[in-house]
Amino acid sequence: MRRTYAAMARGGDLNEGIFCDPANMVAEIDATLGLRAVAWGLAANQVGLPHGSACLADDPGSGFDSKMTIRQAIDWNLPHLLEGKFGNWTDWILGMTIRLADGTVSKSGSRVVKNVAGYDAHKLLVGARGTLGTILRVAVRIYPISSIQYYSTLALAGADLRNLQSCWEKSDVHIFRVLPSDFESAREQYGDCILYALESSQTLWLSQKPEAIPGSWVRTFSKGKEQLPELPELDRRLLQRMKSVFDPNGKLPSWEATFVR
Amino acid sequence: MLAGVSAESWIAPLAKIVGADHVLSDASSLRAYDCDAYSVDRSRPQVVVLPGSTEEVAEIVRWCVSQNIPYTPRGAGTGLSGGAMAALGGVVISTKRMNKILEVDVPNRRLLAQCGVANKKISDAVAEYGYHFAPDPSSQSVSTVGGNIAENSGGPHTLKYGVTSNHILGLTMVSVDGEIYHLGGGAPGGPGYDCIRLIVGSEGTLGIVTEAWCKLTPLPEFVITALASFSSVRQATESVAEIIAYGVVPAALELMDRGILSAVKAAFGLIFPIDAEALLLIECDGAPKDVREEYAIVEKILSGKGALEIQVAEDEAARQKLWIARKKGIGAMGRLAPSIVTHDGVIPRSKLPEMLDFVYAIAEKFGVGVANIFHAGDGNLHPCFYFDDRDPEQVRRVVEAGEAIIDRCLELGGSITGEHGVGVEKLDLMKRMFSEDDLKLQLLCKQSFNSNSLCNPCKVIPNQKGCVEHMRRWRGVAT
Repeated sequence: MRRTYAAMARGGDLNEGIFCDPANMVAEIDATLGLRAVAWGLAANQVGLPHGSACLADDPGSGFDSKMTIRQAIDWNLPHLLEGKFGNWTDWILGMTIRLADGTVSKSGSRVVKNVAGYDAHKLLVGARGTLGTILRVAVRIYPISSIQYYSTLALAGADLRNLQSCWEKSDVHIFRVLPSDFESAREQYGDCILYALESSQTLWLSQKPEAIPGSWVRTFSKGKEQLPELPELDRRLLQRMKSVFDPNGKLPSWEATFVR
Repeated sequence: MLAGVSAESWIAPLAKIVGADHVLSDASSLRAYDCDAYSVDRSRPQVVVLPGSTEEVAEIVRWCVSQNIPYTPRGAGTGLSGGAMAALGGVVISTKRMNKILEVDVPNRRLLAQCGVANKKISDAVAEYGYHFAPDPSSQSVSTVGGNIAENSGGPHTLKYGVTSNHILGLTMVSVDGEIYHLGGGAPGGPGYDCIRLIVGSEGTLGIVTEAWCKLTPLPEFVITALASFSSVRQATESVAEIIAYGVVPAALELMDRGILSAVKAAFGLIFPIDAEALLLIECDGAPKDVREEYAIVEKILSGKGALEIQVAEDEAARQKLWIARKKGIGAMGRLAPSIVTHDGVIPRSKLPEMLDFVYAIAEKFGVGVANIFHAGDGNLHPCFYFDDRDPEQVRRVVEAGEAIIDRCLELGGSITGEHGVGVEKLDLMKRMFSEDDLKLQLLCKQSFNSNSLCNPCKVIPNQKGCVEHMRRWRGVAT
């Protein structure tokens, strides 16, 4: 008999791998599993997560993303190739089990596709780099694998992802996202430096650091390690306040420590 | 609680901020603010203020904090869980005057609106450019952007397009201390904590959102709308489960049962097959080829489940007609009894057939009238109980029947609320869904923004200091 999500979370049994429920198009996954293992596990049920080789490799089994876990992908909230069509991790995550700084294991959200009970703490953890808590399990919305494959093929058509993968491993890659109105001019401005361009999410992967323009952001990776981004003062203040509430004794990684300087 | 406290000394300082015409304190005006569309619980504020700008909201908040007076933000008051009820009395900050669209940025597919703008006005403002604001709660003609943000509102089309949090790119918020924050608004997905996704759906407890950048979604290129009737509710719910399990995601998948059919027949003269016990409204949208393929699958499933009749809209007028039963269903129920409570719970979609059987059994057990009109594709139930809220015994039975249904949702692995929020209605039920350890995480979220307990007190988190002793007083008989 299948146990409920609440029973799993409260029972402390966090070693189950993948609970796939294709009848409801949801799954619950151990966050320590690799993206590749999860992809294979879900594919057995003809479903998947539409991150389109999340970490830019043309071969999902090679390089960067073969080593990446679900937890890392969510902690980093990395832009990916199918974002324009399927959204990002935040859009798929329905719930989480989290270990807080004091060791408490808490659940947020649920395993149904619509839920507004309480604060969406699980959304806050996406991109938080493990600084507010450690993700143990995630409940996610899943998609038919036929749909993921169809749009992956479109996204990858004509792309030189081997070049991008090579840069990712050997030098600097700057992920630059702009407002739609700035995309064409950014593409023209950085012409030769573009490793990959994705119009559907107005994102450029560049070999040169771009100049910031209003409404845009840049994330710089050096040999696959992300460098500390500059944040607006208000964002920094909020970040510090939340960090001090969630982790008053500094037991979790600091925001700064999760980046390479 | 500030019940009975004279607010005479509050009026002058508040009038200085917003003008005397925008401060309400007479009994007849305040009566309209003692509850929202969830009328089981009531608590009257001492004063209602109607600011016209973010700066005025910030000034009001700073004044309330300086006087240790609780304050509660309120949009159109269409909420269905008491989220806009002034639980401890004090000041209600109404966004009624903050109803301007400040900027339409079509190239960047976004629109900046004050939080008192009605949801539908956004879609109306950008329709000529081929866009709309996708969240479409049933109250969209009056419910405000600020209210939608507070409750993370859904609607029939959220099955495909997502809820409000998927469509808010940035916001301006007055903090609980009266500071003004501008969050996001540019390209989404940047580094840092995603505070916007936390604030949306926080029921106005983390601050008061005053302006929002709303994402504009292209209007669908092609739409097929169909209305299928079934001789049993189970056939309809099984159709939904099969459509979802197939991997098809229509834009909308809405179910109505006989209770609703009877009400809309009487109210609007709509005609349905005589044996119809349930209607399923299906809308598929997107590129023409995709939509036709998708609908072909849906139609095959509907026929396989024994649909009595499937009407397909041939033009926009026919489409609107098919939507009437869904859009006007709740209103039509007003003919059945003086009061309606629309409950809200979620279950895994595959459990719909057994859950609906349970809802009817519970209504019979507690002797209350029930009709169902809900977002079947999301598994988001809305059992509507109709009753007379002047009779305390009926109120008690309605509340108990609702709690039994929510308990069953949890047993099936669902949630206590899919789109109406916790408010005051489901404060106690939070403890059934979340353990003490789970609630600790919830509390951390609140403390990250709200440390003074004056901003919309006694909502979302159960057993808050200063709230428990007042819960009994909220629940009363209509006067």
